[in-house]
Amino acid sequence: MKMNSGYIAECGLLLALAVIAAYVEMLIPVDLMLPGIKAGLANCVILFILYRMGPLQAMMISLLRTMIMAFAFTSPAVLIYSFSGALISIIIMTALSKSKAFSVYGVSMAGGVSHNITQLIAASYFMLSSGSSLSDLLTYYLPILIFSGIAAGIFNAIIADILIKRIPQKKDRIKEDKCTHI
Amino acid sequence: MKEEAGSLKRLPIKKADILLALILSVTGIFLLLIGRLNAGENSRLWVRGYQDGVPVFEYPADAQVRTTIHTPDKTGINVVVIDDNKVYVDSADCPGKDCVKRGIITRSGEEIICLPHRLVIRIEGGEGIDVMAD
Repeated sequence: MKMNSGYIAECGLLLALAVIAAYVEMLIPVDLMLPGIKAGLANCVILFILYRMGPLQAMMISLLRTMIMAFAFTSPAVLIYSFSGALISIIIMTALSKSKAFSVYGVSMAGGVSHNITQLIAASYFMLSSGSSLSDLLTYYLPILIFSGIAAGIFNAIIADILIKRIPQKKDRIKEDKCTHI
Repeated sequence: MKEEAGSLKRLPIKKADILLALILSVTGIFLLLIGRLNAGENSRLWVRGYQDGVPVFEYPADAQVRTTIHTPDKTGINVVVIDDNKVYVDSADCPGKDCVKRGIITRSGEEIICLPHRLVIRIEGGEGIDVMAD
């Protein structure tokens, strides 16, 4: 990993893209059964980074994104949920993407579901103290969050899959740039 | 990535992906089913009796009970029978005997009212939706 200006610029660009994806999603009000249900559009940017730049960059950008989102648009109070969700999901996605048995679809699904489960665990203290029962958490919220994680994971994988196929690895890209137009 | 170059159209889904989706879905459905069963447990029907609005007895609706309810001044009786989700007043010494004529009630929300003895027998519970809503 070389810290040249091009690399830094690319990381910054992708971080901005991840923030924008999450921000755009925030602007579209989707009022489904639970507040936790969303597509997690930023995750297709993270998936792209994971496959095209590496796990370390993906983790840095993912965690920075949650912080920027929390301080700029939502509230630092929700940081614990988004940060923990992003951290666990990127660790699991990295592990699965290394294993080679999974395609981007499996990786994305695992990321979405693990993100949701982590957020539920982080929120469970608050939810239990505000009247929800443990059986509600386990037999109502958890399955819904699992299914929404699968759906969001597939949705993001479709986008990330296209991106990963269209935009090759960086070193291949420079070679291509020399011999082709654009 | 050379192996991906020719497969722009093909989906890269592998067996492990489908397996993962299946395992997660089955887990979710399993949890939902457990929730359904639990809700069924919570939504047990209860037979409750109120005299002058004060609760005087409470039994599960699937119990086998024959109980005599005395009015507060001990002048009148109603014999309430609960027999496997069927609830009725078997006999009473009130004028009119409307509570006996009311016959059998079985569903949540139904009630038998004995106005002379100011007795209300009601089947309650079974609202599984409420359990979900909060």
